[in-house]
Amino acid sequence: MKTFKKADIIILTAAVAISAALIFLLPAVLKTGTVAVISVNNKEYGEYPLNKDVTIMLPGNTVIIKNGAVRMESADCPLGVCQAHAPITKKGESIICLPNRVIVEIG
Amino acid sequence: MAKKISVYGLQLACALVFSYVEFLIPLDFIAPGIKLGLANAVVIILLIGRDFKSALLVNLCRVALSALLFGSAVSLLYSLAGALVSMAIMVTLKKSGVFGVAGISVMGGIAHNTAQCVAARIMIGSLGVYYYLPFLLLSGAICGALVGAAGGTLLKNKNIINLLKI
Repeated sequence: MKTFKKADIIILTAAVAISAALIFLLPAVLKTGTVAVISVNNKEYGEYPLNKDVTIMLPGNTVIIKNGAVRMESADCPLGVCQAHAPITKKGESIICLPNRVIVEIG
Repeated sequence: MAKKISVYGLQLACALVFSYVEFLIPLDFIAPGIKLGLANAVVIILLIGRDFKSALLVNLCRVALSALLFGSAVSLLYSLAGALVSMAIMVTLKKSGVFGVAGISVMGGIAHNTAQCVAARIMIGSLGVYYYLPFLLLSGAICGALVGAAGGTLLKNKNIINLLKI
């Protein structure tokens, strides 16, 4: 079987173009959020307004709201992907700690 | 029969080493769960160069062992979801004859990542996971193309061709 047919180039270009467009357009389309909703284990833990600086201490994670942005300050999960995530501000954005089943979403 | 077991075993070991190498190159800063998909090189060589049965067998064993060695019960679920969906898509595309090796791998990568995204949505119960979908689509397509190109080149190698005939 051939490695690269015409169709392959077309599908690859299309996939890259569409996903790149989505990546760049999403932040512009999203509106700035008003509240951070934290859920643990699929149950809502709390809602926090973004205009008030606060530190939220969960069993394995620490969430900080500062200057209208939310970030995962610390977590005890093995990889720490959630901690590396840039602070979020727009509706629909989220920081997720998969191992600890913590979701921080902007609403 | 013994020859088949040795060949499959060899390829399974190869896939596991690729999985481990991926583990050493974390791309998690882009989006959680992003990987290079190197193990798919073995799967695609088997799928295109031999048949669906052998590719599925080695892939499922790789999923199970890799979860046991480097992962957890949860990672097994995600891995399985990705593997099953991507295998279904790839074998369908192989039969259709529309794409070459690289195209099949690209679609396999996209299918794999999308399935994992949906699995995450079900497990976590939040629509927020779909925020990562564009990143997963991009990496799935690019990594799929690279792995597919490698696989396609390997499939032209005499030693590999002979190995696959056993």
